[in-house]
Amino acid sequence: MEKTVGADAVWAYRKDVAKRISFITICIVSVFFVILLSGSIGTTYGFWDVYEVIYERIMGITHPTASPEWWRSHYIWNNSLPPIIISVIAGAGLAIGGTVMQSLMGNPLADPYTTGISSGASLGAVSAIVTGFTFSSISGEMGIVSSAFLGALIPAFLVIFLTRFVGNSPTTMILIGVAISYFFNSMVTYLMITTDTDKLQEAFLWQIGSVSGTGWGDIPLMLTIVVFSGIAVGLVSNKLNLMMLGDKSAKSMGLDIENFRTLCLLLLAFLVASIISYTGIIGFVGLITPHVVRFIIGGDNRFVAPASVAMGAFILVSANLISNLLMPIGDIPIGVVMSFVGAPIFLYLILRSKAGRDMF
Amino acid sequence: MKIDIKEMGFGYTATPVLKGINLAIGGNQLVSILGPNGVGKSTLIHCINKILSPKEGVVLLNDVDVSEITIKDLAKEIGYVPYSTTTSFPLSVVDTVLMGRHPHSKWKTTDEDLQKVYETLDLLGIEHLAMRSFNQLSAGQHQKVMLARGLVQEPKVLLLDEPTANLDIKHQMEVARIMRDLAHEKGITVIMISHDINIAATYSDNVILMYEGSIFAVGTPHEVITKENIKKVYGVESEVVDFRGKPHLVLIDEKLKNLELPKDSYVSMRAQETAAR
Amino acid sequence: MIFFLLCIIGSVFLFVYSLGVGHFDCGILEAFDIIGKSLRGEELARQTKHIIWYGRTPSGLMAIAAGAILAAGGGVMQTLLRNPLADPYSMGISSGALFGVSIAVIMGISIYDSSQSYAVILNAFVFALVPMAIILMASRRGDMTPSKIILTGIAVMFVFSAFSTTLMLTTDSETLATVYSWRVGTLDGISWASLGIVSVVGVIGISFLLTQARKYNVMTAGDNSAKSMGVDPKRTTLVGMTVISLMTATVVCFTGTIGFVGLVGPHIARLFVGSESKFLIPAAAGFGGIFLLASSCVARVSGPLGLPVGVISAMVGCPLFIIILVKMRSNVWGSGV
Repeated sequence: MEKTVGADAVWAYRKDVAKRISFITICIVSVFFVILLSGSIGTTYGFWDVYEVIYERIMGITHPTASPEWWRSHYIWNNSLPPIIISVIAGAGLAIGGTVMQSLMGNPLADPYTTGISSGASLGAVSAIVTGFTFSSISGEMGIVSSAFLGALIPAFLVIFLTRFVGNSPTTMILIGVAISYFFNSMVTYLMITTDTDKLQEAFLWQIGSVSGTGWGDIPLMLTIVVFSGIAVGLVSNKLNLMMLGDKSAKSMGLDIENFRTLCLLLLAFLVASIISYTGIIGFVGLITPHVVRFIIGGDNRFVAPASVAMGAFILVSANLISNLLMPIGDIPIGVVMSFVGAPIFLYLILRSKAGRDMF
Repeated sequence: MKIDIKEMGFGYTATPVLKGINLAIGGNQLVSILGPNGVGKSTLIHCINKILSPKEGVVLLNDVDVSEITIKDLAKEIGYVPYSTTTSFPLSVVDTVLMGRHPHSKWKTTDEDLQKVYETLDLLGIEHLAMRSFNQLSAGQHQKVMLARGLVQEPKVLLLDEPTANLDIKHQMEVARIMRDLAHEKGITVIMISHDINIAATYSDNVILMYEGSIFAVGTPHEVITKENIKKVYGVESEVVDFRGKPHLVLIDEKLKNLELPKDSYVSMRAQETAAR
Repeated sequence: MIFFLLCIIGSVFLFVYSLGVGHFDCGILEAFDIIGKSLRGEELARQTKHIIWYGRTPSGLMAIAAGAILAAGGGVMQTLLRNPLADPYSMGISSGALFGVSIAVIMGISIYDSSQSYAVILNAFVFALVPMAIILMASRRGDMTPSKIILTGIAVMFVFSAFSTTLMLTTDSETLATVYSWRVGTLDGISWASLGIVSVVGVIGISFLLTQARKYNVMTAGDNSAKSMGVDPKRTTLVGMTVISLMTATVVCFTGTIGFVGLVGPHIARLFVGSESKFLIPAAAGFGGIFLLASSCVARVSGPLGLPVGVISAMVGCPLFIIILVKMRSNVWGSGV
């Protein structure tokens, strides 16, 4: 008798797992739908045109130069698609970054930028824009990207380095992250007020976060790192689960939390740096996505991680779509759209949470 | 399983929390650690399973220094249930207990893992909570879920930090009895911190009494729980009586002067309410 | 108390010194002479009088007043919200003020008579209080724990920032620069009139906080024990926060958002006098004043044009903050930060 109860329960659990997997599938399908939809917005081409172009490109079908099909293919593939693809990748990457950071810190309000990564990236980018000084001695457009990338790594390394001395507790890490980002932001401010107004505007625009004007050349590095990190996070997601019950419990269940946290933070630094150095700082997607996902499928990171990837991609590509739809009114970058969508959701999450405890 | 602690000391700063700890614990039994607040009971437990590393001395598990065992291997041998666990994430009870399988299983959850989880939940009488959210449970239920998580880890030594703290007397007795039965039947050494001397005396095979960062006395409940020891360690007067072969502590407050009921004081059920019953 | 007196004496000396510091060099005695003559209404060379009497004197005094208000406000805010990262801007004041400035500068919309020079100031003041009003409204319903208050403040701040950003995107680079420089916080161009307003508000506000000090102490023991001792924690928190917001908004609308002094000031004061509000408030105020004055001196000598004091206070304050974090780990705030 007792055995059958157990078997029933096992079956119930498996059924729950099946539900989670179908949720992930739905998200992925939605992402493709929105990709095709965004490709057709603001152009004379339709939904299926976008599909056909992608299909043709993948299958290697070519058209004679300057024929209507060629123009269609050229326009959609080179103008419409790169920003869309980048928003998919960035959304996926930032969302998984948020999932990892929240579990690592045991803090549901952590986001991928918690260790101050965004302020470092800003400093890198702004110094490249304003003074032409880059951390990578490359100039021009790539100079900004590479400088932002290297700048983004500095705060993460500092946090890891400092916590080796003062104890590796999540609270200390968050506080040090806050302090470092204050410092970097003050340097950014310094640079921005001492420069001329045009450079100030350029630097300001960089900080907001935008995917417009990106091309296929921006994609490979970002895609590689996001795919790699996604797989890595998937593989350690069972360990991330242990972190959610606190450090002592995690340790007693056989997880070397100090090294694990350091490794994850390193991975996150590269992941987030590779995204925001191309897009600028896009907020909220990394913070909110994991919450939405957990609300629907529960807290097991083995499912939250892939679901966040799909959901994050969906949210950001939708934000991009909204940004495109608003084009007739004005050029509203994706970062601003995300703030308008994200801030109310964030407020809702806070007011809904029962105790609102341990948030800092 | 045997645990040998030799000349162990620990301190967060220069002031030691633990000093000169010498202990040998072995066999399938329930051992209770007693002592006043802040005496280093939790610290001692944390030093055994490497949550903290001792400043001096060694902890041996089956003659192997624990500092040389990887933390994952150690987790297969020693389970631990912290005093209180909170999480800000929406985890179900099954998710929480499943984590205890981590040292034994790989990424995927097998049917065997699930089977063990449900058996343990059943053993503790909380199977009906399986799909509930961990955060929505009462403090007592939390305690039991964490106990289940420690048990599915299938350790040979189980360390418990006040497992009966939030429970009512029925559940206190139940948990203590399950711990004792587990120790005797499944061959586990269970070491628990307790503040309830009578529960410890009734269910434990042996008792450790700590005082000011050191071991004050060890032995059977009868040997350790004596009038003199309680006076010395806790600074309270008591009478220890023998009840069914176990010591039983009766506290005496010498400073309590007036035992008579003050005049005009009363507590009574109101007539209407009494009638309603 | 000794700490407080030291701070006051320090500020006086530093203030005197600060009169002489800057691109235009002048001795301390000479500066005094000029002030004395100005007070007696004697004639002076225009340039010197302009720099010393209309420039450095009010801006030095404003540094003291603003620093005192921000640090005292920050100290109380940290106590009320039981969070070491709280500061006077925790209610989203800075984002509200920035929004007010943005719509005044970019769209030319303001509360009262947009042609006047004080339109921007008035706008900043009024909008700085909007987030606080939203939080007050939100707190009417349901339980408002300190963390929820902070988080609501953050959320409101994000919304306002998004609006400001949108406005700043639509404008040309010149106007953007005006708005941006406002955001940083500066003590240049402070008039005697604005100094008067800030000082009066500061004295009243800080005195009020001091009268509440006993209540704040009780509240550190937790909501339930506060209630049992006859203090309504929610009411005390909201009243305290409203007063701090009014004070801060007054400072912000004249100087812009000067960061860090409200965060670090109280922590340093706490190292010397402990967490007892009765001592913490004056000590934080004293230290905040001297800190901001010192920053403004550094800012003034840091280049021919000088830097905004906000940048300097952040650059100096941040390393200090990290040191404090390391030092006070698990001491002052316990592990439940």
